[in-house]
Amino acid sequence: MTNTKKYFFKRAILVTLLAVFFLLWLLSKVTLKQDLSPIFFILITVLFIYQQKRLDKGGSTNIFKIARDGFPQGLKHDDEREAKNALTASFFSQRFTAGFIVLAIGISLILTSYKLIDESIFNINAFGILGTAILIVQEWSFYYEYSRLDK
Amino acid sequence: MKNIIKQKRKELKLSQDELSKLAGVTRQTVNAIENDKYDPSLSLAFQLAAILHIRVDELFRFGDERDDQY
Repeated sequence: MTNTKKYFFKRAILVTLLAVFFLLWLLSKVTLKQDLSPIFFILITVLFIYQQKRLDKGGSTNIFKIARDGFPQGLKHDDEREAKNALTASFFSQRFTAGFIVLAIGISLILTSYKLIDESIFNINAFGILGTAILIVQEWSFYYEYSRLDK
Repeated sequence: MKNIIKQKRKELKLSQDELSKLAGVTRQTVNAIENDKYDPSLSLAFQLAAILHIRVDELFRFGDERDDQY
């Protein structure tokens, strides 16, 4: 496994952890009687700072800045072939994630239109679940496509 | 694009790893270029040519061009 692939794997794991914490926070609000928001808020903030520090070790992770080789700085890579693969993987990931969002919202609309479920699913809980799912789908579809290209 | 990197590398007794370190790329990239799976950028092509002491147009050839060496 190359360093860049390891970096993307580490990033996917950390983002998934972050998403899982959000999901647990959401579930605790629904299932538990007591509000654990302060604990989860601190946990998520600590994990977010840790994630930023871990991912910044290899250099800048600012995806908005373009590096000298023409690729975003956030797409960490060791050479031009890896940069090209990472860029291709990000296009794939973007399409895959968009497809997932369209499908998720589409199915939800069908379910509510035909009254297959009684209450409206367009509430804060649904929004939270969709958000965390998007984070996970985006990161792992990127890693999947990068791994496929990096052979 | 075809190339004779492998041949020139062996002439100079360089491993893929050594060549990749000299060119500042990963070993996987050198392997991909040698096996015609990746076309390098112009700057990397010139860099490889300089390391292997050969002209860039001798090192790389477009696929359709016929040459006994390739």
